[in-house]
Amino acid sequence: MKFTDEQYNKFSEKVYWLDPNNKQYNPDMRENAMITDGKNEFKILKLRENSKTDGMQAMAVAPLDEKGNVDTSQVVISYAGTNTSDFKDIETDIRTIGGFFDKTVSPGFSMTPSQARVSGQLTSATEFAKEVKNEYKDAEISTTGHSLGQYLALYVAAENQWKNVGFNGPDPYELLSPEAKKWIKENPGMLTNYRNRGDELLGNLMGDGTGAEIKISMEMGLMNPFDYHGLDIWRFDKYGNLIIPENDYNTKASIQQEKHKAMSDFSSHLGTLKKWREKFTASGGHLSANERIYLNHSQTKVVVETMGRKTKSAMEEVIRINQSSIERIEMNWAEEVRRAEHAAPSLTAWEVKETLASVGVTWETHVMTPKEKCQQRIQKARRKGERYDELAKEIKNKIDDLVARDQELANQLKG
Amino acid sequence: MDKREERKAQELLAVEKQAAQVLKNTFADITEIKFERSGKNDMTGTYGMFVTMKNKEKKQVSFSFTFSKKHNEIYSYIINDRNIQKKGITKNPIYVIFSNNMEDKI
Repeated sequence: MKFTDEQYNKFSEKVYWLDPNNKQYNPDMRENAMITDGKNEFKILKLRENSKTDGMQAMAVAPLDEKGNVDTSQVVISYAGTNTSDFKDIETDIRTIGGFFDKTVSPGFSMTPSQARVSGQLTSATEFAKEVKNEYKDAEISTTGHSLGQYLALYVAAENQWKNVGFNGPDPYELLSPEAKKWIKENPGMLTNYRNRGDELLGNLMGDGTGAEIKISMEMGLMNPFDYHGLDIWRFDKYGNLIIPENDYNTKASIQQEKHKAMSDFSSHLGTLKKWREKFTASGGHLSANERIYLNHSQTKVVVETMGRKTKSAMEEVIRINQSSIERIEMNWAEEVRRAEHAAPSLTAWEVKETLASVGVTWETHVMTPKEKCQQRIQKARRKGERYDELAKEIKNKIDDLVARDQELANQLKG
Repeated sequence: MDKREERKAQELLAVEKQAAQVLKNTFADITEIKFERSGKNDMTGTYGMFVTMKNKEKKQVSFSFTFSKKHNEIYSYIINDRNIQKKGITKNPIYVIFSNNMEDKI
């Protein structure tokens, strides 16, 4: 199963209730307990509750398959955010995220991964992830969290080269190792940090060095600052995808979301192929010629599909930019004419246009020609997109033919 | 109790009533729900609730769930007894005891 944005949202929420400092904490959240969002069921594989030490809480869950068996091939680790009544959480926000109280540097403020910043919840979060990784060696692990929890989740995902989807988190880039920074650069879209543009608490702090940010305008109007930071502001479609409201500000966010999803699917498909490769060679043997052909072609298919989605996003961006340019060109012309008429009130509208034309400023040169150029670019982008679709379809059909012809290999894959 | 606390208590009672209705639309054959404790997480905007729920066979189960007032939905709940936490809808009125010990039929 593929975890959805909605499921990540719910895991980020549930993990808060592990904290006994929270008056309404959920005493029945224990290891091996079953949890449901009403649609799917999950088993809590492992918990960590550090209220007596550094204040961190974490939970690892795996889904149940159709037969009710726990499927540990995919595990999600979620980290709890700040409990406002727990001093340890507040202290972590200030020391680890903000870089304050660091006595190892002067004047008590650090922008580097010093021991003072990394100790406490960040270290505990890393240790918990390491334990889960060791216990579920074959699992595809991803992380999630909200606020401080997403900060920890982003850090752990980047250091382990895992997928992350979380909400309203400050960015941990400055504390990451050089290896993690390199991996982020080479794998854009593996980390997703949904942020509310209006969040003025923790959610938009510390920049976006990881590139995980998808900043969304939720059009909430004036509300309590906590409401902008909340987890329940986000809404999801029937497939569990986070809904980005349609408005001018969110165009970039919609394109980013599509790119992130394409990248995450790409990584997941490659993971499956890697598992097949391991399965084929499990007995110590080498890949047969057919197996090699199949895997290489499947890999190509995944690349083609991902590139297709990325091309589509890029073309949509080109079209959007040119469409808004067309709107601006017409508005600018109207404004120019209005200003000219205002500057020469004694002239008629026709005389103003004649005067402008005498210095080379006409509707044709300033509106028609640029508009035509934009329209040509839009047409070109559409044609490119269509050509890519045709090519991708052709490649995919050829690969499907190859697999269909090789009945023996198909049987091996089923087994 | 000062005015602010009173307002909060009223708000919590209203959310528990809302949640009781959603529980009726989530589980079949329930006759009684007792809210043992409830409260809001200001950071997430959601409510954590711990209830004891009885069914027609007079069997009971205690479990926690989290609730979104804004979405009017249960975010997630712990499954402690599938026989009592049976998915479905309860149409008959049920007896509800709220965390402030008030009682009502919903």
